[in-house]
Amino acid sequence: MTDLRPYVIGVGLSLLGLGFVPLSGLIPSSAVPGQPALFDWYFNLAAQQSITLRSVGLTVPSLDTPGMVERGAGHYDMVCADCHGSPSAPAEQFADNLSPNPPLLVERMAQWHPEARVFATVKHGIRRTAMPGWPTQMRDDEVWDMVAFLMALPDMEAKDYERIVAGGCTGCHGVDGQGAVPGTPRLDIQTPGYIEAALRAFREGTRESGTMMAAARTLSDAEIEDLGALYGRDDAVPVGSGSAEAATIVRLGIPARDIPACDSCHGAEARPGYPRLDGQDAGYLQNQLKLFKELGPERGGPNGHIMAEVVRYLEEDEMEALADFYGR
Amino acid sequence: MRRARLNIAGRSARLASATLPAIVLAACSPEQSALHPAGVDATELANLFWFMTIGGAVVWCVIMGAAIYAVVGKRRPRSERFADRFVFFGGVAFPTIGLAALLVFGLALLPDWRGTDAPDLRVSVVAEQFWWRLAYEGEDGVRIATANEVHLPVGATVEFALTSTDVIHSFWIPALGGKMDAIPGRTNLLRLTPTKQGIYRGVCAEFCGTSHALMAFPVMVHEAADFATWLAAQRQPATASGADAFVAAGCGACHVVRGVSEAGSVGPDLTHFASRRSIGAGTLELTRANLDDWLIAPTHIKPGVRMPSFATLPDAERTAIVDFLLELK
Repeated sequence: MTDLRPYVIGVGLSLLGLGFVPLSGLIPSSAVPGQPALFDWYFNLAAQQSITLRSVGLTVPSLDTPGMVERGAGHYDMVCADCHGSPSAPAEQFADNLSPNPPLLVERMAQWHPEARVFATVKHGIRRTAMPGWPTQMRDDEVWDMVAFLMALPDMEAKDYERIVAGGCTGCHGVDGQGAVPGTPRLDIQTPGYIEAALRAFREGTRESGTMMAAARTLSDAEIEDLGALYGRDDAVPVGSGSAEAATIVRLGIPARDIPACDSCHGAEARPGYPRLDGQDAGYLQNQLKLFKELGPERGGPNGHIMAEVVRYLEEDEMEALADFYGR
Repeated sequence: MRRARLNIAGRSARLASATLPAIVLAACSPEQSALHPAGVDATELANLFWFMTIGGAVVWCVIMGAAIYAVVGKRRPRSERFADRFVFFGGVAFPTIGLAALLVFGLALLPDWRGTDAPDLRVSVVAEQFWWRLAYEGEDGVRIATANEVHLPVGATVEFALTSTDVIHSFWIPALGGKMDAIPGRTNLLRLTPTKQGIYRGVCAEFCGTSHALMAFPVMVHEAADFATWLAAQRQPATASGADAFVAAGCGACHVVRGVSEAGSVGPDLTHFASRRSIGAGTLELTRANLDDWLIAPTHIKPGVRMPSFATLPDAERTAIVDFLLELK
């Protein structure tokens, strides 16, 4: 035992010493540029390695599905561009006073790869920097949209970027709410009540969507009512012809597998609080069905727990057929 | 919503205070007791029980008597002949005859598995987590769908065709007879003949999930004429008015109300819901307050139930649905 004494004492003193380092106040916490590079180097290395570790084993989905770049761009312009700049504008002045300095992505993205590491960075953020994680950890599909946009960013012309992000809500949902970008919902077919409830759920964080939570965060009750009235016009859109299989599920469900008929809640007689589906964007519908099945009631929204029960036994190909039936 | 939650909490407390003594006293309640037989099979089973219990008690007394006698009795030498006979009669003859008699008695109680004679009534039972889908076969072969409440005519032989869609359940009405498993993918037949009018309680007797204990059903045994009236009434479509809220809220996705909404047969048939005594397969007594609570928080009342909460409906819409359901006599 006495042989070990010097080591035990050594380790004890080292731990004590480590505790005293932060107590001394000598580790710089100032964000003003020009601090010693040692700690930046240290924490940056840790972050790089952590990102690499998180990205191991990720399956990268196809990133050239129509709509992905546009959906990512909307969120980028709203949340990221202030610090990281955009093709049409430099970063805000305050970004210069951040340390570590946020990279200007228009220039830097060309050197960053692979996609899985970009994904891990956007989803989890970076501790000890100003980089936040994605607002919800449940929506990897949205994070991949952002990755698709970031990958396209270096080659993007300012006028193209401006065209994509112009107009706030209308950029994705269309000028009349009829939908502009594939994979985002059209709003004109819904009732004002449905749109208001959805916006409130996004604002309060009870419905999971990083993009919409960020967009609805600052809306006042009056603005939500105005948006409901503006977009929720309950317009009837004729549905195209879907497969016979989908038509059966829509009208009758598959009672033997505990799948109820869609029409019961989304048909002409349904209460205004339930969403209308006729003419909705097919990609959006399919994604939502997938989310209901993956997340269950966690997907959120005032009636998400009902849909979670409904889709429990729905197969992937049936979801596709249903999205196709309702969608355009 | 807050009011509703409080209501539920209060109800759970009341439920607990009501069920605890009920469990203790369950053995004394004839409603769910194999010792208060009200059917042919149950009577035979009860007889078997008493015969075995009394017979076992007699044997026990004799053996304990012999043991006590062997210890405290006077030590008197016995002849070899006596010992031989004692071992032969006490150890060979008596057990053989006794067990053979019990075997004959027991075998005689076995039901007629061949089921050669046609039953007076056929009822199809599909057990699902955690309720009973029932269909009566009318005289002309028409299936009359109902759920979670069994009605039977006194004196008639009823054949239950039992199956399940998910896991193994067991259909048991202790007052009327033995239990029978409901197994996915096969149909088991169970015949019962009630002999006494009354209200009994049936249960699921095979653990089937979180709400196994809340998968019960009231059983009403009527006079033949009353039963015929009941069955004729069940056969009619619903006559209630004011179905708009029920339809608009999408209740019809899972529940059939014949004459109103016939697409969804995922959950229990509600055509004559208000004629039943209970909500949620024997879980709550059917009252307006209980029904409202059930619509607000079904999983609080019955964990694992597939019925989603409709707490987000405006009160007026939910009240309209309750009104409509209570009219479905």
